[in-house]
Amino acid sequence: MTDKDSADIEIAFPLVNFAIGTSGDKDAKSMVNALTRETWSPFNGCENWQPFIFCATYGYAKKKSRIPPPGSGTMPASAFKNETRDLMRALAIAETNNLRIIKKASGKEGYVKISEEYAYSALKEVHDRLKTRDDGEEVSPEAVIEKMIHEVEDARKKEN
Amino acid sequence: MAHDIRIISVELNNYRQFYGKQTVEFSSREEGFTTLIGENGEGKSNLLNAINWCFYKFEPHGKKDANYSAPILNSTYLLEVGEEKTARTSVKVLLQVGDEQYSISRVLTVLVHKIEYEKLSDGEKMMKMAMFADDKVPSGCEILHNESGFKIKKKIRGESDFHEITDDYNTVINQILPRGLSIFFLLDGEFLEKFWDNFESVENGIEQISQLHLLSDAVEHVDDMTVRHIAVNTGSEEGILNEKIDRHRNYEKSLDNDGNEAFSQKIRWVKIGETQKEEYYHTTGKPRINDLEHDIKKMERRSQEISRSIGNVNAASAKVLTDSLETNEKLLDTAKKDKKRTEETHRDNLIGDSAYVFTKNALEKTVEIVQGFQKQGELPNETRKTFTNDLLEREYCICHTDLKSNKVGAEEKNTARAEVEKARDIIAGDVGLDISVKMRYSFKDKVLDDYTGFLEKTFGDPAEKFRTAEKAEAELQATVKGIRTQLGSAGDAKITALIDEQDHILEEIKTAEEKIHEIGVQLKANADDTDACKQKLIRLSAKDSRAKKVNHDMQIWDKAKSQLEKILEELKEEVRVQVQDKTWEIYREIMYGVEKFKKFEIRADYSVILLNQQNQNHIVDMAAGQSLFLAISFVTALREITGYKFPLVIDTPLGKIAGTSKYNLAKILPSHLKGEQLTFLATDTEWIAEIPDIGDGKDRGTKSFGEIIAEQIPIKHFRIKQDKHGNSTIKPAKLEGGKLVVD
Repeated sequence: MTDKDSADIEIAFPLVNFAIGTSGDKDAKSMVNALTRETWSPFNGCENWQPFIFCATYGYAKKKSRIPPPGSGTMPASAFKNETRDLMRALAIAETNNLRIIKKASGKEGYVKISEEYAYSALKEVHDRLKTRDDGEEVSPEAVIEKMIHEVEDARKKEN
Repeated sequence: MAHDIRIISVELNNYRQFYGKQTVEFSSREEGFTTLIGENGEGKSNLLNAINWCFYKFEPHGKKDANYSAPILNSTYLLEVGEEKTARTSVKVLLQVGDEQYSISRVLTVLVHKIEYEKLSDGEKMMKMAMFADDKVPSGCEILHNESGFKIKKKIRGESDFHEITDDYNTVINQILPRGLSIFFLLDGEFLEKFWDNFESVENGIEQISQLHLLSDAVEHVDDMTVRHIAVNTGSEEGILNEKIDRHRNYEKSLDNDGNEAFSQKIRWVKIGETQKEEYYHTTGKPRINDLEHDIKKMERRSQEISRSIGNVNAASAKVLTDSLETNEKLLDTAKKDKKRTEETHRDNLIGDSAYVFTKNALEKTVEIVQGFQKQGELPNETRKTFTNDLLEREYCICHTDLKSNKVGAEEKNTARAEVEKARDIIAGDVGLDISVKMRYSFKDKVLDDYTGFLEKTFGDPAEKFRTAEKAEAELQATVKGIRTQLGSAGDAKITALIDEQDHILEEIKTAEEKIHEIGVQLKANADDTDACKQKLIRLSAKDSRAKKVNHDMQIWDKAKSQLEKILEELKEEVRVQVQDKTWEIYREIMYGVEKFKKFEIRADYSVILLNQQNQNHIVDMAAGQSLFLAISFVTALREITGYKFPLVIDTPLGKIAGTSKYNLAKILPSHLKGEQLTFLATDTEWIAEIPDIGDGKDRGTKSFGEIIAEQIPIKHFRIKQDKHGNSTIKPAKLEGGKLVVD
């Protein structure tokens, strides 16, 4: 997952699914652009799939309510490399308790959709936390991600 | 043009300090070497200029100062001609190219009116110069264009007379030797001496080689095609999208709204004391990045020079400190790289592998479900499918039920077999689920089997390494700063000035690197936006067949451009490696028996590494002789790879070469670079003076460089002699008893 150029094709997340344009979510586009292009962002220089999968998995870990993005389609699974697809599949299996969901990638019932919904629900929080370095509490955005990891780990320990 | 080329003769008529008609007839390699001996200022470099002027109307060698006021026509001759008469200078080069002989000549004719002078403060007068296009002639002279010009004539073997060729002269001359490569064949000593100080020599050589610049032009041309779009109303959605695409393209190529190259107000970096060339940075995009990257390399080189200079200024008191400074600067450089590398690993792991932490519950759940299916034998389906197919092939079940086919028409009457076939078809549809088995193993291996180890390896260790590297860098920064301060307070103003200059350079490098990053990010954003605009245009043009065609063409050009760019990059890489390997091969051949260096590399950014046995890059610390040998090896490699078999004419090659290297060169030169017509333009000291004994214990007698060579190969000598008026003549000469005697 560390290769910046390892996706099969470059995807225009969230252009594809957040229906950017006349009726879509321009703020979402702007946030994703900022994540991949601004120097404050640890995703600076990355492709769009990288902040996407980060947001999707973070949204799942934080037990956020899935929010369907405004677009009607879904991103093609082929936009992601195998390891990333496996993560999306695992997320979908856990959500539905149904192994068979991995046979369907696209469409409303597909496993990609579940990741899209989690990503959309977490995008703003991820963007804001990294940009503001948790309102200045952390010295770097990398420290914010370390903190996110600790938060998720702590919550998991408490549950167990 | 792959034929062997040899210079038969060069004829100068009143060209610069050469008064009247002067002719040099060159030896072929089979006949030996040609050497012209003359002191500095007597016209050696102008012989190179004469050939360049004849071929390209270009004089690259010698004084670059704009105030250099000698006219291209010989001054004595010009004054002799008198007012309202025509004066003429010309250079004619006779070349043998395979079976053909070429007579290449350039003439400049002026009508002399009244030559103007400027009075100097001490009463002396100085001839005033005027520029007419590319020609500098004295004020008061008028260029007669219809009596000036460039001509190429040719004859093939067996013909007695030359006849004018019908092809374009400039095309022909560039086929014989492209202008960009002339500096690598008509070599001046200064160029060779500073060859490795300036990576641009390497870059130019490689870019010019194999006509790579033509492919670059093709990429540019195709790029122009990608932005041809159909005319639409200004203000329409299509119009706005097209404008955006154009704007991004202008940014990328640093163009203004009219498509002209745009420059900023910021002057390019030059080192303190160097003549300000008034070169400005491009405004934006790749050209700006290119400018900055070039200047960063120059700044880094200057910074290294400063570090060495500091040690030379106050050697006694500063030696210990400068040694320490140099060591710590090297350590700091390594520490910076370590920090960058560990920081990138740490960040990549954080943004990439945190997803496994966030989804740990999902991974566990997946593994549990998959394991459940496996326990029940329902996975993998591929195995189940094979098993059922096997039963159907064997035609009986493991429970001995008969599975023999009993088909009536399309219908299977054996119900047991029909059941197995049905099960097999369901299983076949579920083969897609088998991927979950792989997922199970990969999740367990990578994350779940040793989750604590995964966290430590992925996040803990890289974070620790990064912090250690960060701390090491900070400590070394402080150490280096401390040493600089100590050196500054050692009381030497010159050292303080050098340190200030170095600090300033380091700041400038930092600023330039930030700017490159900023432009890079903007370029990426623009590229994404351009793609989005193009996609939108395609959608909008769906109903307009003309626009649809244009957009379709645009996509094809886009593809062509990316293919060409790929080819260009691959070719550059291939040529770079070829030149690198050939240079190293030739250098090792020339330096036979010397094992001081173990590797030569031309990197992708055209910087050069010459690694010594202690794994240090020695390229900036080479002795003059080593540098010359390596430069000649590079030039010879270019010659072999390009196929341009133009002869080598080397001006003042031995100026700073020590006794041992000079002796070695004299010994090996005749047997190396075989087939190469070689001409030397040398001073008396270089060629005729006894090679000094530098106490290296080698008994080499009392012979000069020229004598040692002459023992092995014939040399045709010429003496360039200047009179008290500054006019030079070229006369055949012989080397007799260690002296050059004019015939």
